[in-house]
Amino acid sequence: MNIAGHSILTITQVANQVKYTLEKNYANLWIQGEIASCKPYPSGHIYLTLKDGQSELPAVIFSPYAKQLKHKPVTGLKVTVNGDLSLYSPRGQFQLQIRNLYPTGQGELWLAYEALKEKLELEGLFSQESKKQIPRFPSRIGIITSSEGAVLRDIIQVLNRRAPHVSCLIYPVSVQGKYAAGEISEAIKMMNQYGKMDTLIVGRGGGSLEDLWCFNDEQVVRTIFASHIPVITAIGHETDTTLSDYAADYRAPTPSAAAEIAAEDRQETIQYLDNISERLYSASKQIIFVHKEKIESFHKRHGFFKPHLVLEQWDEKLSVFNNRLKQSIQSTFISQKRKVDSLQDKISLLNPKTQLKRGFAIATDSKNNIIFSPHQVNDNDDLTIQVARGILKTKVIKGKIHNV
Amino acid sequence: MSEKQTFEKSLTDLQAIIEELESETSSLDKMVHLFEEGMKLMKICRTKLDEVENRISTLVKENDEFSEKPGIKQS
Repeated sequence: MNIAGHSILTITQVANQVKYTLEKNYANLWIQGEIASCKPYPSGHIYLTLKDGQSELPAVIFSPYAKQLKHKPVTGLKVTVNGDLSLYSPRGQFQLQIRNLYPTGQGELWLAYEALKEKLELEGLFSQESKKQIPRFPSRIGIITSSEGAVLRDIIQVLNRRAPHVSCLIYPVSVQGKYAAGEISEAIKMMNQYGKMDTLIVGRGGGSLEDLWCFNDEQVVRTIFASHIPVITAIGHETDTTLSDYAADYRAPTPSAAAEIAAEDRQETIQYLDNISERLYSASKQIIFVHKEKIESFHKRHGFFKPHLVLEQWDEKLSVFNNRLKQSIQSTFISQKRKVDSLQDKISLLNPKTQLKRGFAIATDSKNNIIFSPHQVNDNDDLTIQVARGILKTKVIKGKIHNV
Repeated sequence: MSEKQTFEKSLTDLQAIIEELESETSSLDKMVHLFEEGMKLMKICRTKLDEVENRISTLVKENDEFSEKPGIKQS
């Protein structure tokens, strides 16, 4: 709309322009002040008013950020907050949208913490992909903590109970004070250099923000990330999360939990071994069975390779031969016998005595020559005629020749 | 047994042996070899489970050299 050369805006247009300008120019502010009032809503948002001596600033913490707050905002608390200015259009009211809130005094620490966290996160130090697996069955665990105090005692107690076969190598360090960060990162490096360990536990009991601060030290965080040995951290209470925890391969809520994660229970380990042992046996048995079947089917197909079968086969062949031999010998014998018999018959037929028996006679002269023809003799010659049962002495009366 | 043959390493090797055995492609000779190797590793593991001596020691650095002292020592 345009009236007499002036461009006329709607309320919403004004609000949108102001909102845009605020968000562009007043983003990511760090502001110090005191909480004048504070009201959490069922939606999860927290509405509050910040003030200093002269001015007030309405603010809101939206529920996703409210959930992540490490410190509860309460009226009267001096705070350092981080957030962006914006406009709440329905009421024409500008407000600070708070992302982080820290009690003043700690504000600088947290500012550094957030900056370092962002930097290391970008470098990938906290990425899930670079997390190493914690060995389930370690033989030795390295413990980096104070040699005094409950942390070491708790860890050793749990290990004694659960896994008395696992040994511990302790590297005592200070866990607070100005030397702590240096000692802790030195310890992690040395343990890696020394080797002979499956897992490292870096631990510290609960304490004030400042007490735990060495675990937000950049060098410590980087050394944990660089460790070849998987690192479990157990630092402070469950609600305290240090940058070391983010870089560790596993973050345990307490030292006892760290020890439980670090070593499988001995009984369970034995059970696991029993299971492996059984699998070893049954897998081997299965292989033997498969090979045995193979050999058996091989035997069935190529039985003649078996010596005793070869013998049996030859034996059978031999007995067949033997029978045939016997039969042929017998038949030869029989036919020969028949021949002999018939020859004998023939011979017996040829025997003169046989002829005599049949009534034939043999005539001989005085000189015992057999008479075949009448002209061998003259009339009145003496002849001897042999018959079956004796001889006859006769004389030739007359001879007559037959033409045969 | 080499220093490297830790409990965890033995278990990993055992696992590999089992998987090879269970793949059923192994020859008989290989099976016998794997089985014997498996039994050996099993023995190492079981022995380690029974070790309870010299459990807790402290790494001490003296003249740039590390040594392990039994028990918990002050830094």
